Amino acid sequence: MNLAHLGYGAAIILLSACLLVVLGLVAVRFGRDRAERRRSTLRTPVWRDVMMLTTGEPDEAADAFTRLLSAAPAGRAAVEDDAFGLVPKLRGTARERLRQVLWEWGATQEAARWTRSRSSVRRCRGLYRLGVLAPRSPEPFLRDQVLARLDDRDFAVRRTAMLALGSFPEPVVVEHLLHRAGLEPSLRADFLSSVDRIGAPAVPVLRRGLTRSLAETPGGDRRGFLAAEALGLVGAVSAVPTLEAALEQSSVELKLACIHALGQLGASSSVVALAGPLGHRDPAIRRAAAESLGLIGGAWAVPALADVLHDDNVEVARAAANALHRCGPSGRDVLGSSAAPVAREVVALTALGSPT
Amino acid sequence: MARILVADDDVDIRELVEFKLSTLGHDVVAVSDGAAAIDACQAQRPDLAVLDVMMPGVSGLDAIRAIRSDPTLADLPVILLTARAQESDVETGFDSGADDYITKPFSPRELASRVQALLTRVR
Repeated sequence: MNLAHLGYGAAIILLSACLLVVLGLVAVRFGRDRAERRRSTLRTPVWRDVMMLTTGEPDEAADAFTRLLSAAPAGRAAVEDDAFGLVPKLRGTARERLRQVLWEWGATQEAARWTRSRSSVRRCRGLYRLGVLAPRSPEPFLRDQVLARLDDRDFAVRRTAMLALGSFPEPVVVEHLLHRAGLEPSLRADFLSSVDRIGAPAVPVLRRGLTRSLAETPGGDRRGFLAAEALGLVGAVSAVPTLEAALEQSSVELKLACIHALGQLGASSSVVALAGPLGHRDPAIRRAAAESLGLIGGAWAVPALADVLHDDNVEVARAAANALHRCGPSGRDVLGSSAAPVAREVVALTALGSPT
Repeated sequence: MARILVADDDVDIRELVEFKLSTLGHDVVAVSDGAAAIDACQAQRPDLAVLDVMMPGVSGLDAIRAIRSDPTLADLPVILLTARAQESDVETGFDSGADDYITKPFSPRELASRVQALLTRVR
């Protein structure tokens, strides 16, 4: 056997290997196409029932509900992911009907199993599904499954758990959310999103969290800042005195959180408390106070804001001018008669019809 | 029966709205972005349009402005269907020329009622 024979043999082997790879890829593609066609065939009638369930009149929806409960497991599996994706996009009876079907299909038990999976992706999917399925009166078992995942080793799982817990409007849940978000700054936005969904039931826990934070740490800690921010977000008007009292603390972060919250709550009684920070040495605090006074609006806020039109920091002065514009006729009169450049800027932009 | 344009980049929403309006007997034209919505309005002459606000490329608000600037489409009733629920977002929607504003998550039956009401009013 010479070198030419060896080369010829190697070429044959290489060619055969390539052919096998190509055949393998074609077979995989064919198999996937076939599976997709099969899934599509199975999905079409069941998905049509899902559509009828969520959009139909009560009698049509009742028929679709019955058909969906008797759907074959393969048909259920073909639509289950899409159905879970659809629930958060719906409101009212359409949403409740679809959740009911998923409950009846046993999706809750499966999701609860997934939260204990070794795969973090599967744990996230399980938590997401438990959040979607969370009933109006949550079962402690399911809630505890999700709460336990706030301490998961994987960040994505902790984050998904925090978001899913927004579907469980219970004080004990808010306590855990506040505790976890206080430990992990990167979960702030998810904490606020969940608390916003929980709404009123969160208020007593948040107020307690703010008070406790101030009692335990001079100037409060991250838990206190988050509690203050969340109180504004959920519209906790009853917390206005607590937030006004917390404004007296020296911490800049806490002051900013309380100022923003008071602005969002919009109580006219807060004007006096917010006028104080307009004279603070930190421009970020002065600016936040001016913005919040603008959110509250009304003639009471005008004298305090008028004094800030000549602030050394132009952003503070501009915030005051914009706030005066929102204070009604008396605020606009002050702007019109002021020689401050920011006042003239706001008046000019208003005349042009531009948002200020 | 009316011809209704539905523009939304979310396939679930598009499918849902299309299904609901079709079952009511309307002829539905569904597209997935603002530019296609403008093209479809000019080509298909719908009786009403349901537009999402946040779409890739041309947004729903830009699409409304383009529709309103076309004299032949200026009177087309438009409903905005969007996840942007802030007071300022609603104001901006109406300022852009929308006739109605529905926030997501939404009820398909409520949307259908508003479509019917708007069609009745303009006819």
